[in-house]
Amino acid sequence: MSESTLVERTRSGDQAAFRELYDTHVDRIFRLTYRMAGDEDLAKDYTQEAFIRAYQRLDQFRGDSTFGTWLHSIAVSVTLNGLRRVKRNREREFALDDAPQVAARADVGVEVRSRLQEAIDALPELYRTVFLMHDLEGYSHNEIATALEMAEGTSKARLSRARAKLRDLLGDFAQEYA
Amino acid sequence: MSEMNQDWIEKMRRDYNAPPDTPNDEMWAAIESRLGSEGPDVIPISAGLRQGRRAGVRWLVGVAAAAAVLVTGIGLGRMTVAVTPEGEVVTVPTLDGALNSSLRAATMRHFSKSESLLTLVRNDARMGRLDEEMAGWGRSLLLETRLLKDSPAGQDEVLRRLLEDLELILVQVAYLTSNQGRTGATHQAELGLITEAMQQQNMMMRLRSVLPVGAAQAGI
Repeated sequence: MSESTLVERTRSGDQAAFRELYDTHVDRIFRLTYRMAGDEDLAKDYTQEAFIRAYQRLDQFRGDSTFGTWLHSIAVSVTLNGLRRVKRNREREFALDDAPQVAARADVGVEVRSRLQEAIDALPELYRTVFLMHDLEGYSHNEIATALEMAEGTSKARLSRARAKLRDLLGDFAQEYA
Repeated sequence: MSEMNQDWIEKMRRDYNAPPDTPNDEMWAAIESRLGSEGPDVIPISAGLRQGRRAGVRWLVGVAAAAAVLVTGIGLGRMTVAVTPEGEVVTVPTLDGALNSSLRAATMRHFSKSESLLTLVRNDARMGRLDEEMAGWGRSLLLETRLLKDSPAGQDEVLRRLLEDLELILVQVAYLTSNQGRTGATHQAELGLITEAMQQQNMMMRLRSVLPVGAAQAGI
């Protein structure tokens, strides 16, 4: 059954059709939200919320893009907003000292992952998102551009800058890492 | 891309926030539960439908008490739409119409902060630790929750239900961290009970459903 048919049947209240849409896209959505959030509970929350919002707003889906692309744009937006809220509210309420966490990772002998984690986390939000989507999860620039509401050229430019930034952040460590 | 960079990318793919297996069925159960647990829901089917008097952010709320509105169960679980005798589907009035802009903004900020606190509680439970600084935050949010219940915000049925459920969880958080005589194991057991209650009530998703997409940029 085509995806457009599944969408129409979902609009008519067909639960099985919505489940089929869910099964088609959930893995890729979950993988992306997990890459962005780094936390399984948050990734599950954001994934679930993305599907719920998509269901609620199915009347707004015009078919200009594929359903999957539209769904991914919702998922990225939900995740970015969720992570921003958590980060901002946490900073408001009490100061965080990340140094002990970094030291702890080094203490247990995972310096490679620690440096890598820090370097990617240090990327500006949109550069990081483009990098995660393209290089780690295999999204095309067309898909990224639609999800993040940017031009395809912008996606390519940001990916290039993200990679350059990572090379700078990892520095000579990158030679050992490779 | 050079060989070095490709190898580098492969290692990042393996090591950076590597996703576990997707919990398909678990998440689907939560979605079904969420869509069905808010009571009668309204699905805006097309742009041509009458939106109701109070436009704005659409989220899952109880059916309007108006006698002219019929409730029909359809499709997904216990989801419903509200249908007038004339056959038009209407959306249920939302937060916007019930509250002035200041109270609406305060309510949304409250839910945003509550979401963040409960996220930390859940993380602490999973990692086997307890951050004492959350006590003050929890008590502060508990007070706000009670104030909102007594405000016009508490007059909306679904909003009140959310505030009441949130209050019960915040009471547990405040009590947990304020009792200095408890052992670490007891704290962890109680954290587990709190997160279980959060899951059963779909609390995180209910909180986020109140917040419109783009709330972060609006400072909420």
